Amino acid sequence: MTADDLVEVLDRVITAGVVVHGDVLISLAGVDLIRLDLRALLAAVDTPEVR
Amino acid sequence: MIPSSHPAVANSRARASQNPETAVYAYTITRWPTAVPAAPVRALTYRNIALVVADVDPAEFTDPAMLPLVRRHHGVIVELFEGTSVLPFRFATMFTDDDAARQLLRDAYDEAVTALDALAGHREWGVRVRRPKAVPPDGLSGTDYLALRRRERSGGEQLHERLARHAGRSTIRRSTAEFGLDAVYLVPLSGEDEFLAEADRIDGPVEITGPWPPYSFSELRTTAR
Repeated sequence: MTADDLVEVLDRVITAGVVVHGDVLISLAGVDLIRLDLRALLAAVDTPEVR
Repeated sequence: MIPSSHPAVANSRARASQNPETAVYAYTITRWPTAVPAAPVRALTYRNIALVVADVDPAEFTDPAMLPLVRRHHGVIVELFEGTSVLPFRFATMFTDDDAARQLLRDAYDEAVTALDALAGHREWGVRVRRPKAVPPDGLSGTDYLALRRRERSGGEQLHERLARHAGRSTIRRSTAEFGLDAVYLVPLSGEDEFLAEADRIDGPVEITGPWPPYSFSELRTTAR
């Protein structure tokens, strides 16, 4: 998987897919933070390219 | 494994959510039966659907491990998607135990079957058209500039309409100055050639990604309990 492919994957698995709510879900504050980090990574990689 | 008998459930759940050592990571709902990826991936089944899960230690969801975990998430879903319909969950969805995961599968049964039926025979494609940095000609008035921007925007919308005609469902992911179009399409297998031919007819640099499992078209309203 190339870096570009990984960014595309990240872009989907973090922003799309079924979101389940309920108190039987494990929600670690850390995971939410990590999700944010990944979003930041996405934003950083997904900057306009010169073509 | 967390005991499932009552009344220990409430306690174990409370304990689990404070300091869980094991969680049940949910990849996707699929039709059942289907081939399940290698252990530790396993299937919790209910009637003709399954929730594909693996036991994980939530503590492993820390920064350095995150990218391999993202790859694993995608890899499991892609492997299943090669053989059946999937309704993928968002990355890092974890239940406290099997009982909680099974309960969701039961509660969401009707909704999940409807979604799997609708997604069957479709794959997701992404189309992005980057907008070249517009350099307004010298002497362009404010009114002319706004008209130019409006034309650019409606160009993206027209493009989207053309592509969406070949898709069962479609969503514009974001609309920014950077992108003339950034959209995802749920395309029936029988219409992929026409969809891709339409995308190829777009002027300028186009990024087409896919085929993807239907990440962008998977949702459930059912709440876990």
